[in-house]
Amino acid sequence: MQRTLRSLYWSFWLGWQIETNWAEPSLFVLYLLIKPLTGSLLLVFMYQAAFVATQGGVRPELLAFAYLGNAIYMLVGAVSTGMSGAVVSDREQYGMLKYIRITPISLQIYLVGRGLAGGLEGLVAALLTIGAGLLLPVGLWDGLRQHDIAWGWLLFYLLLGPPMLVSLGLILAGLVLNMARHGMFLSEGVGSALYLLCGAVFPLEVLPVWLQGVALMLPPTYLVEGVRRALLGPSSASRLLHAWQPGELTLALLGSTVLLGALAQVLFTLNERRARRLGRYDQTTGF
Amino acid sequence: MREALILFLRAMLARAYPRVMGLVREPTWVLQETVLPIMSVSAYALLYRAMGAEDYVAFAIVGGAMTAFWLNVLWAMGAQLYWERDSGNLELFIIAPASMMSILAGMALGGMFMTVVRAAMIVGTGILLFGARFEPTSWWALVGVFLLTLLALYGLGMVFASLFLMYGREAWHLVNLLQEPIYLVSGLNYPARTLGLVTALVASVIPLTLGVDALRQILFGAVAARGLLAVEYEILLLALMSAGFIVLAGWCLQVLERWARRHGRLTVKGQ
Repeated sequence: MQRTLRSLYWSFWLGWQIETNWAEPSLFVLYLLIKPLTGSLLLVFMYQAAFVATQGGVRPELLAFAYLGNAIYMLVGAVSTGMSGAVVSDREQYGMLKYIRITPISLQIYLVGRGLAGGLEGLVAALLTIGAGLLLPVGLWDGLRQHDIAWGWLLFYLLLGPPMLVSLGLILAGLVLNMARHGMFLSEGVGSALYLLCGAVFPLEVLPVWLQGVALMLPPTYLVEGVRRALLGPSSASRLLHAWQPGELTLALLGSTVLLGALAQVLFTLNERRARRLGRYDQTTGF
Repeated sequence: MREALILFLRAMLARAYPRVMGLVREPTWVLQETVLPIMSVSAYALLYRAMGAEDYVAFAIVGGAMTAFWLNVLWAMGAQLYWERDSGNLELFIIAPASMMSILAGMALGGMFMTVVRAAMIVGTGILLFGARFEPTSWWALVGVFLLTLLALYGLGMVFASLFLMYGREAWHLVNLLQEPIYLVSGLNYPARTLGLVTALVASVIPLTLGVDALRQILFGAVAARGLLAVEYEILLLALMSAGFIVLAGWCLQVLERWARRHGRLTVKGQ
């Protein structure tokens, strides 16, 4: 156990160094703020444009709904794509994956540590974005004031989120182990698909009916909705999940996380073995 | 003079060749660079739909198509010399008898070709999925503005490519940083005027702002009636930018290549 924690700590440390030490700390903080904040402000200006075009016909709660959902989703993207990104960069760019593979540490633990470093970056970005959202007229402050924050549920979702995201990241990292460098497409594609399908920025009922079914099978849907609901309360912006009680949301997130975790273990082990058999650890495809 | 011109053209076509052939030999890239923007475009289009602003769904689709060009300019122009350095090609480019400008021009030509295919697929998918309608007031103006926008964008890409000779690992992050902030200020997903006239005019130093605004004015007529500037002025500014960026790229390349030689940055890898 101690060895596992030590591996996790050092891989986390390495991931954090790679993510952050390319710039001075002050410049890095600026980078961390500007990118997510401008991405979120994009939604604010889209709302503004729609508000003018519809002559004020846009539901006001949609802005806080989309802004907060976008901020929460930063965590999803950071962890899940961070782990497969580590496979590609360590193998293709730095040529280090084969050396990590021959050390006594578990590759899985190493990738989890790298993913958590990305997750911390995503968490900081999300918190900064939410902080900026409280200062800007995006309705976030009003939304928070109208409803008591459900701190217990918030903590619960934030604790359950990382294992779910790490499981997703492990599945992607395992698959990318056996793909060429464009394997990054897979993780970025999954990230974009989840952004579209988990209702981060728009209510799920806007999706075609068959896609709503897909959305309800995705664990990040429940994470985004759970955290958003803990902060803003049940939102009338989303009719599909409006009727769900917190207990039902929790059960859905818990159940899908357990399933995803089991799937991740099986898939990662199979892919790790396959990569070893086919010599993928030092197979670079040109960067 | 004639020999130099022939060498320039041959080097340009040779550098454009792998990008054009890459479409055939590595079709997953087309999938990659089409599917990802389509998903982003879909998210924004659905958000407009949720807000009841159906007219702006097509705005988001045009923005998505132009996003593909901006991403290509950043990753396949701006950061390209950084990748080439990492893979060991940069020194070969430098010692070859052809000028670096011809290499950059080839990268731009190939990049434009690749991305036109992707942009067409994004627009086609947008029409099929969201029923977006485009009614250009003039096809000639549409094609002219589009080509001028590409020329200005890739001219800017050539400037980026030269500047990135200075950077190591931070190049990747800088390119990342030039995505969302540029999407925000260039009005890719909403009329640029939404930002306020002054901000939008300042943002016009990026050709994407004027190009997208002019394209929307031509494509959507009444819906986009309140463009940033009259289309004629936008065309004039885009033409000036095109020439200016290409001249600036030539100058930057000379200065920065000398700088990179002096600081030993032409062969530094993995930093």
